[in-house]
Amino acid sequence: MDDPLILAVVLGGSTLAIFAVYLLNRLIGGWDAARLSDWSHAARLLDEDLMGFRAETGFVTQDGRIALVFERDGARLGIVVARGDVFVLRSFGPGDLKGLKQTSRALIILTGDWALAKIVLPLHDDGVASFGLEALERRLQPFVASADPGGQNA
Amino acid sequence: MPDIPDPILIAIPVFVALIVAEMIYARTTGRARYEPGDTLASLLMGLGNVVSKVALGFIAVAWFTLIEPYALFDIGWGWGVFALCFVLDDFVYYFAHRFAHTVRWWWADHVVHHSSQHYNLTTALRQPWISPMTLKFIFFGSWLVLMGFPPAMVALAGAINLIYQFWIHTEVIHKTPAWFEAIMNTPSHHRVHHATNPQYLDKNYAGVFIIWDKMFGTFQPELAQEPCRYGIVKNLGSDNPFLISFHEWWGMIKDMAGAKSLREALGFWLGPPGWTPDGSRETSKMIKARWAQRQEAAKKVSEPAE
Repeated sequence: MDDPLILAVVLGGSTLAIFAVYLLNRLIGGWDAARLSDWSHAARLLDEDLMGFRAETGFVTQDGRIALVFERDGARLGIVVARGDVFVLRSFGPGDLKGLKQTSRALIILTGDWALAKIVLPLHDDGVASFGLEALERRLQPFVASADPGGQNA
Repeated sequence: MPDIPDPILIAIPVFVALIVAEMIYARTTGRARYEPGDTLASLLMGLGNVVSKVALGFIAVAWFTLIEPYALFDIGWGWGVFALCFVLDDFVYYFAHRFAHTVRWWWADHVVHHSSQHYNLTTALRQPWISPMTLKFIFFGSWLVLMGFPPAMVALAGAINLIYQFWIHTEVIHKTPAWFEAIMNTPSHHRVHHATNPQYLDKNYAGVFIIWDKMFGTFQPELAQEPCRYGIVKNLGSDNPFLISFHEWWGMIKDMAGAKSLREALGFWLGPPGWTPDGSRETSKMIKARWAQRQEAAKKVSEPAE
């Protein structure tokens, strides 16, 4: 591939082919957005992936795309987030979260994770409401890092 | 030296055609999964890999040009010689791949290929962008050249090896004939390699011939009762090609920068992925040991008391 023209044709053609394949994938479908049926579904996934995650309580948002699961004895917080047609799991120990932020519309968990930096929980969400906002904040507090120079902890 | 066209360039249109065929087959039968974001990310990683090979390939070329005069023999070209070169190259590939999973410096590069939670033909093309910078070719690519195989022949064997590995990234093919499963790397064997189930971790490193795993104790057949869960132990959750490409590098640099001693820094650099001085994260060995303990405990509970 020493000839720049050939190189340009190969790269240009490849780029077009990539977007054509992507569009085809979008057009024909065949995949469903991942949804959690309830928080015990999330607990099962956490136990399977983290081996020995002993879920105590939790909730799933009404769209089934986010679940928070608290482990017994407050040992770990498990978060399950749907991304496309798969679930991404994280667990946090006490002090692992960067912070909590509350706006008029949502409670935002700042995880410090690259891909899941913010977990946005709408305040009007049925799942959040069923767990109780106060209870949720109380449960989350031990997982938030104590040093909080930004002062954004709830 | 015979005039040989680049086999990967010839293979690219075939790759695209097979991906489209598998995608349509997946849609009609449900026997494979394609999700647009994941598909796009994998294909862009593949394109970036080709670009990086063009841009950074000179590093490897310079190295092999440098060491070629020191070859023990002048083996020359021939079909028999090429067959031997291909088998030996696959043998070296096995160890290169094994080290890519057990040394973080090389895992930071190779993790890209494992970062999808899907397993389809596009996963084969999800390849790293800065491989030549890891200098893995010096440690694993030099042996055959120093033995006397022409560098172009070694490169051709390596390219055909990679082309072979394309078709094994599929869920569509369940099992191939028993004799083939016994000798060759197959979709079933390679699904195990891409799975994060504890009993599947660090298994089936083979490129073309599965016999190396059987010889060196890393073979694991796919079990019907244990469906593969694809991805990495801590899944990325992003289709951003830059995040896919550099997340582990950044993590490694951060860990090394925070190391309290040279020993710790070396551990973060050359130790197994997940290694920490205090054991606060888990290596795959630790995960497997914990899994084995759990299995043992479950067995004791299910066995009737004597």
